[in-house]
Amino acid sequence: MALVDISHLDFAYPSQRTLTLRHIDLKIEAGSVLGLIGPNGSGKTTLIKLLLGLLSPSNGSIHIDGCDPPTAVRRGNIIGYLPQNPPLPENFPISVRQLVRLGLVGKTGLFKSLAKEDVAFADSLLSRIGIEDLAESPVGDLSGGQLQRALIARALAPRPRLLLLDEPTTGLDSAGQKMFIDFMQQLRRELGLTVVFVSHDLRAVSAMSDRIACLNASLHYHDTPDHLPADLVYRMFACDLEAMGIKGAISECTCDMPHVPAEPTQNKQPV
Amino acid sequence: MDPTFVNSLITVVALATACAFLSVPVVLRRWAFIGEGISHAGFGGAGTVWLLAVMVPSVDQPQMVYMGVVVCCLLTAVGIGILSRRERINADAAIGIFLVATLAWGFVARQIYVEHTHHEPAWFESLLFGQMKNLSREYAIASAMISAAVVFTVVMLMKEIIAYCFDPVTAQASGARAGLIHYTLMILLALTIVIGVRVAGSVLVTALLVLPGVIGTLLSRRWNIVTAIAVASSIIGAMGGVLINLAYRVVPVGPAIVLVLIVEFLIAYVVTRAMTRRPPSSLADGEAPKSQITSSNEISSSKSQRSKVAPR
Repeated sequence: MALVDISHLDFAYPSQRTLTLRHIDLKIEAGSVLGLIGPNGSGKTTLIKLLLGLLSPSNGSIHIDGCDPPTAVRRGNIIGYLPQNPPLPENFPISVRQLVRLGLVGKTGLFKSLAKEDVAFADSLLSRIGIEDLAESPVGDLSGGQLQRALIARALAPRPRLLLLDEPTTGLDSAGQKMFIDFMQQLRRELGLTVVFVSHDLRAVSAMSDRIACLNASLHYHDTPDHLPADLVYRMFACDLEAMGIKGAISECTCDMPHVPAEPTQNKQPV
Repeated sequence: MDPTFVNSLITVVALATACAFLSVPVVLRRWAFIGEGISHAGFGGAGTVWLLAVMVPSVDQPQMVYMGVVVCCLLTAVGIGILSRRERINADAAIGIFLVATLAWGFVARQIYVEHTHHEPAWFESLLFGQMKNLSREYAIASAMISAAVVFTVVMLMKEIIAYCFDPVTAQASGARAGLIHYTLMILLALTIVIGVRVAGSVLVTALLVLPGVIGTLLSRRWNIVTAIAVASSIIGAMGGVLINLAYRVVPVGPAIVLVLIVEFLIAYVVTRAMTRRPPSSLADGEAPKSQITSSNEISSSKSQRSKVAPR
């Protein structure tokens, strides 16, 4: 069953004449990991903002767990979100434990205290993600990697069904990326999460995702990583799959192909 | 005890408490300039009443001018809120636009009023530097009630305010009512400034919205303790200013409050510097500070690396 159903989606920013996203049809199965790739300016973060209800579609519809995005977000326990550029809270006066509990604010609602079982779950995430000994430390004392873990814990605190990760491996070295991917795979298995993993890092996306959606204003591909056409990636990113560590249809790569904007192709296998 | 002194004391303590509770979000959201914008908007409201008074002399009363100040401060707070949240104008620019527009309108109106009546309009000097004389019992009670409402609202919305101050976009994405919190904070600031303009004047009321929060964040890294320090320092500053004014009538209350707060800030700054220079005892024993502790499977990324890649 699809947890996310995007149908005939078009989107244009008010200040732009062209569509940032056009004719997007995408279904994301519950419990799966979708890697959303595309070059800079391809509309990846715009799609995430649409899923979060921060932007409204120009045409078409988005349903998450049967609700439109603003309703899903207001319920507070459907979507967890790790932003692309989280704040660097050097002097922000809260502890790591308090930061993780901030994830419960939407679920709890105005003028209400946090439920005991929610607090217990949020606190248990601290040990599950390996920062229990930093629970009472000020958030400003965390390193980049520790802060990222704390923010993932905050996103997971309301026990969401869908986790949106916007460029989570930006700024991590290759060892850090591998640890992040292993860590997310483990969390996904434990919590039964549906994950949308946005990145232009093909290596990270192909290692973590069940399916890949290739976006460049429109959707050019939606299938398993193994079937990702090399020439499509070449046209989009002006480099070859082998250099990116992607295994798959390398033999199909036409490496003398000039870098031209990719044309939309039929979704190979809508899910 | 002198009833005027009691009224002054009630008013400044109420003002100091409300300002202290709001000063923590103001400092953390970097809204230090916002007090200036909203308080100077009072000139726009007062100016409108002064112009009306030229045409309709019965309007020329201090209470009417104060009503103009209240209405204009509230409208400006909402206007700054809308511009900084919905439009493509950042908060500083929105505040600057309202500040110069209302100041210009107020001074033009004053000049027209002086040309027609040949005397200064009511509230002109009080708006600039505050006026503690003749504070009525009713005004003191109204100030205490507004302050209580501000504190109650901030406490009841504490978790939403913390989430909003940390990152408004992520707060909204996690289901928090970020828009409601944004406009609520603006309205609370306007209400507090309306009391503050009467006591400290539009020029100096900003000090009460900034210095307590700065002192708190210098001395602690726990939200509740920061708020407690802010309240304590704000009340000490306010009461200190009133007592200085009582002892030396030549010193106005508003500037006296601000100078006491500045002294508190300097003490907090020196104490913080002294504490950060002293090596932690655990380091002397060869133990890593807590902030350096990493879990066994720590993702290898340093804060400096992160800052380079994703500057804010």
